[in-house]
Amino acid sequence: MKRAECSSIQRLMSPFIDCMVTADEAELVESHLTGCEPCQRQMQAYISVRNLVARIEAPPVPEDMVLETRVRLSHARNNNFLVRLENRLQNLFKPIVVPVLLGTSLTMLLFGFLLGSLTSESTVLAQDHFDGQPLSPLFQPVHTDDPNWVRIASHDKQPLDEQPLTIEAHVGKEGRAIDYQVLHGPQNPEVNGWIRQVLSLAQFSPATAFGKPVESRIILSFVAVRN
Amino acid sequence: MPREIAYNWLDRAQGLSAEEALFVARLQANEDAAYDELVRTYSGSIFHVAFRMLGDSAEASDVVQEIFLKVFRNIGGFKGEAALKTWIFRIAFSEILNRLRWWKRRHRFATMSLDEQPNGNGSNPGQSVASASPTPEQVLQSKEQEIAIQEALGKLSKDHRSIIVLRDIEGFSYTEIADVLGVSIGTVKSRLARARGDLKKSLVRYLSVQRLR
Repeated sequence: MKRAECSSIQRLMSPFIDCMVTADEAELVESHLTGCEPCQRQMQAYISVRNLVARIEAPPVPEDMVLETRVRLSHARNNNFLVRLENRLQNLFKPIVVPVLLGTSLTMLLFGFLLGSLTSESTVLAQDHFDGQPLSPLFQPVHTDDPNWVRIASHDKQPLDEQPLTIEAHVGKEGRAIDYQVLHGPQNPEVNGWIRQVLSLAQFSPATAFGKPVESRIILSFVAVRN
Repeated sequence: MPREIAYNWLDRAQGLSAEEALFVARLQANEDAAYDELVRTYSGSIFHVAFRMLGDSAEASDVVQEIFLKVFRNIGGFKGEAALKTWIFRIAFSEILNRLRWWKRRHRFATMSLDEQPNGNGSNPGQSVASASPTPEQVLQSKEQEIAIQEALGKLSKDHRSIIVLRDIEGFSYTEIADVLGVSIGTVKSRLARARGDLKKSLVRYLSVQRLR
């Protein structure tokens, strides 16, 4: 009976010293130990063996082991296709990414300024000069075969007398006269009517700025032509 | 991409703290610094376990490197079901026990030369005397004890040795041991009791010295 009890207690000794028994089991072990010297020695032996092993000195980690582990890990990680690709792309693009970004930014800035100036509307005046060259329509006399012009020019009842007439006409982008102002010459309803008739029929080549038609002003002079 | 995965299972990962989950995410994202930290944190304890299991410093060093490589190869599949330490030691024990089986197949026995230093660093007793200042008698006694313990561990079956190394040397809890070795807590208790009983018999001479102290 006693031996059987010692045997069951000894099975609990190992978990008992690790506090891995239930409260009831712990009480059972403790009460048994108070009256059983052989089991006390057994328990002491269990505690001693655990302490002896626990005190065993940890071997120092070889320094080359840590280094070699890091190197082997690094190789293994770089053998991964995606990592290798990422590293190669980084090595390739890192040196050029800053100059490329800077260059692109500057180019976009430059084009922004240029496009801004191209899209700005401006009215070209007769007296405007570009690079020292006058606008072409102002110095090209109007030559026309338009029968209306011929008709006007050969009209018997021309309102103009010997005094020349000079007008400044405001020409739109489509080449049609929008407005006019008599600069010099006779001014009366008959002359004004004649001017309106002439300008309403006139079709001009519109002035251009950078290849784009713009509004302009032209000066026209008329003299009476007698046959 | 791997980092997002880690955050997704962060809530479900019962075995991991938030800090540990982030560390795992860094490992899964293949971060250099995370791997350095991993080696720094675990190489010492894994080497100790490997050395006590294999009884050979060079073999232990080699197997530690294999363990870390295996950790790297498998970290992508780690979902946080257990603590990172437990998961790493599960890999470690799998690798160590494989190495022991490999040895057994080649009829190599884990014997330790009396000339070899049990702490694996090859230092002579004179160096220990200079560093810790114990008496020469204490140094010899300590060395003798350490050799005896290592020999006693070598005589245990690999299951019993694993339990002793994890519990009494590395201080793992019963639950952690059960997780690492893939056994029940009841098995851990019974194996540990038998292993301690076997060790007790092998080390009886040193146990009496213990009692006298």
